[in-house]
Amino acid sequence: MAGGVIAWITGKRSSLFSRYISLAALFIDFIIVVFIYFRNGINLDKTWLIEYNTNWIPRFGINLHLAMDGLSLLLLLLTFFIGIIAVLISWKEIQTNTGFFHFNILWILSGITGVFLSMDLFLFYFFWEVMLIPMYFLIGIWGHENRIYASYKFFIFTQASGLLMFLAILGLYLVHGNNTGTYTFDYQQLLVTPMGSAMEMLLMCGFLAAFLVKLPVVPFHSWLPDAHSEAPTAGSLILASLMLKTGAYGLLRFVVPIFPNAAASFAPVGMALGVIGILYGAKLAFSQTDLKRLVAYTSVNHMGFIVLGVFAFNELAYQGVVMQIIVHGISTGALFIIAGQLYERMHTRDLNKMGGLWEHIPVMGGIGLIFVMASLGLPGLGNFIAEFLTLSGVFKSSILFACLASVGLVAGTIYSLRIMQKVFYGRQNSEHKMKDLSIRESIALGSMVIVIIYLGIFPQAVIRTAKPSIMKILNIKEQSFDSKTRKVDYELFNSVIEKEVSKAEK
Amino acid sequence: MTRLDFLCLTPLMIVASAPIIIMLTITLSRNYKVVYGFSLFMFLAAFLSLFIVLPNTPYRIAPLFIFDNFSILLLGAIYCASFIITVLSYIYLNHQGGEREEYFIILFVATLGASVLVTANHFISFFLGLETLSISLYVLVAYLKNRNYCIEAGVKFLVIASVATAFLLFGMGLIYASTGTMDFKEIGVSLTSSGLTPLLVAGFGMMLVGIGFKLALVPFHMWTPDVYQGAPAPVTGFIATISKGAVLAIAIRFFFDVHGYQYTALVIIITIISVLSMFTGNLLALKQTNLKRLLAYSSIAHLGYLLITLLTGTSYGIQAAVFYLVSYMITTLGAFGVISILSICERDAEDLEDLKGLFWKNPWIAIVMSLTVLSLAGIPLTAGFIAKFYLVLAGLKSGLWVLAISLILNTVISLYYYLRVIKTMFTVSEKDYKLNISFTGNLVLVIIVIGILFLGILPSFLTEIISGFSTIN
Repeated sequence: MAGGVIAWITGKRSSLFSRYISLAALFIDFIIVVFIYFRNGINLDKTWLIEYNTNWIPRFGINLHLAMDGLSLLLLLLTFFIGIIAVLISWKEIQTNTGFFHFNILWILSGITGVFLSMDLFLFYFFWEVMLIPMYFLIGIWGHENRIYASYKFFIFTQASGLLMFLAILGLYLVHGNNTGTYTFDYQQLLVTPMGSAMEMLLMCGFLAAFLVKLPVVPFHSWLPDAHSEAPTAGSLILASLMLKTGAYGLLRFVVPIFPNAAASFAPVGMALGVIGILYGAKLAFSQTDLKRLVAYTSVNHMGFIVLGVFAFNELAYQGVVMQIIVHGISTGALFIIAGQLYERMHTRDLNKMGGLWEHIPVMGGIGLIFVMASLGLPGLGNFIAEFLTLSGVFKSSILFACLASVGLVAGTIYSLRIMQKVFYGRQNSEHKMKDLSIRESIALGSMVIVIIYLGIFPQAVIRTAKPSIMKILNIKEQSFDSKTRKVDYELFNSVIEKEVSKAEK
Repeated sequence: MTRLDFLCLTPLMIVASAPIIIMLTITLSRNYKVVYGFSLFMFLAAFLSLFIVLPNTPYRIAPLFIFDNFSILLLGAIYCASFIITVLSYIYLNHQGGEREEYFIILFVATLGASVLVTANHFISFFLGLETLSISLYVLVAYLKNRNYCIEAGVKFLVIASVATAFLLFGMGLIYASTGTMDFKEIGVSLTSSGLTPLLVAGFGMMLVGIGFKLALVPFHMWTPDVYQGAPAPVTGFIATISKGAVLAIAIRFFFDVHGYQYTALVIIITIISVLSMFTGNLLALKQTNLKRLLAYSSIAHLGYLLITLLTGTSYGIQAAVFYLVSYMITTLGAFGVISILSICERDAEDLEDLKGLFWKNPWIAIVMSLTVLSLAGIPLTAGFIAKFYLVLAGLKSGLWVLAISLILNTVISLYYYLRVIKTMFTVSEKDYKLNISFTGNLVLVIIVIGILFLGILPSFLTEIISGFSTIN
């Protein structure tokens, strides 16, 4: 399927109809994923819903191994949904070199898709890097005033951390090869790599470097506001909604199951970093005057919850994390779209030059209100479920961090309301005559509103889909937590999971 | 000499006969196109004749030459590169007036030197090959005599390379004096019995200076940027790919034959040189605005990376070196190919400014250039990525963590200036390009692009071929 995406892209590069073609391509992908979802709706507890495995570079034991489970299924749904929206909202914003622009968008999306699907660490790294270059172009060519600086910073930060992960992947490969005799990059085999605890810690740090920078966690976050605020709207949207999520996905899929012991000993630090991210992100968001930078810092805040949840190691928290991944993608994405549309109309991102816009553009204001409420975690919208689940999960493992994080929620309320105050309410600062949302923009934002409300009221769909994958991750962790040898039979797990899931179903 | 000896020497003889034939035809009448066509034909013939040699490997023509898989593959790479450089030179020299036929004669002689180097396993053939290569390069570098930079670069190259040769020769002398043999394998044998005496250390040190000069390793790198900048673009391409590749090949063979990686003193020296080359090359490249100088510094760094393979001492290391060399050759040829094609008659398109806005004017050339630059930076989907992966893996397998980490760090540093090249091409500029690229020029670029992507996406083709290179025999 990812191959299909790439094929489409190469075909469409120079075409003038690139908008329609990329829209169609993403739409087809979306339909395929929805189809997979419904076909497997009944038995989600299989190991992989779909699997594709073939030799790529046998010399090094590298396989082209793609597989999909509940977690990646959800993330793919998100990817293609956001992809469609990204194409829709850049319809008017991008007027130069539309062909190349859409080429980049689709490449990024296929890179992200690959990351969510690959079950071979080499392949994973491959896709991880593939999404960087087009993003660099996206920011560097179609961005705002300070784009060159932002694109450099983005690229060098993520590439440097990615290379550390690469080193760790190679380390893992060699450790596995030395200890078991088979040299392979296959995820399932590397899961049961026996290794010493110092080695485990070292290798995990390599992985963490990449994921924490990508997420980003506070000391490594400085690329994010620059990249977000300078990127074109579609770029910010994809960065915030999808690219950050690859970091979260990596934590869940790789760090916790492959390095369970090291992850457990890292947990207090990880949770502390999460809490710092929540509080610090909220504080910085509050003091921004640039609308896009403000929204960017809210991402730092929200990603704090994800880190916090990941290192809480229990099901509730993980459900919260998955939920957060999805709803943050939608709500923050929507805020970026609104910022982009305001920029299109007013040519400024400065909050002080806005104000009193409700009179001119009530529909956008209303939608803005919904997403601001979502981002501060109002019950009834998806973010509430996510934060609630995460916090209650964290509460089980660490009361202190849960309390601190709850303080972050309050801070979140403050900065969120500040957006509404500054942009839509208050005294009218400008004499702009503005059009309200066009039909195209309404469709994009409207569908996001529907999704976020739906998730707020019926979160069960997500929870049920993600459950088997989460149980699997946790099981692996617990099993190896007890035994030091870590030689675990993977098949045995699945039977255990199956039993548990069927119990839970009842 | 037996029949088989002749058979194995066919490729070398083809390359050696070409300059004589061209010389004879020139005395009758000058025709640029005919000479060009004939050169292409001869390189092709030399390449194809490798397939005659292939079934007989490994074959040794005592005492000077050895034909094993390692040398055959590198010979293949060299002939392919020469073929491409011939095409580029034709396009490049087309703008220049005057007598251009002799250029191809010297090109053949230089290629012959490189071929001898790749197949040599004896000090005599080593030295002969190196000198044949170097002396013809002096001429090639200064070939465009009406350009100031060219002459300067030629003289500089001549002086420094002669000094390097002197060092090399002295080193060989010292080693011969204490081991009594000039054969690589036998030197290795006598080393294991005698150990590393001070005289031998001095000998190896001297040789290292010589080889370091030729490969432009730090601290012997000073000539590189000037020569790269001054020489005509295709010649720079030749120095960067064939000349350095061949010298590195013989260095690898020599080092592995004498088991150099077992002696701590040598390992430490090479480690230091390697790390220094990586950092110096990349840091000096950061601020360059001249594309050819930038590529010169980047090549210093790349040779630094390649030194890692010397220290691995495993078959993995050799394979990694071959893979890296091949992909580096393709990539560098791509970069210099673009420069040659963009060059106009008075000067080369060597400033970054010359590339400004290229993407909007001529997307195809810009994409080729971006691909080569990304491959040099080691970004996935390109050959450079797999090559770097192979290299790091080989290094880690032998426990060379310091070198591997320094490679990774340097990759990050290098990203900055590689991205700058790409950024320049994507900046909008008002400049007008009037380019009409000939069909052959486009064809060469297409081949290079296919090569880079092919090795990047389906590397198993090459990895399977080289996986048999367990030892150099």
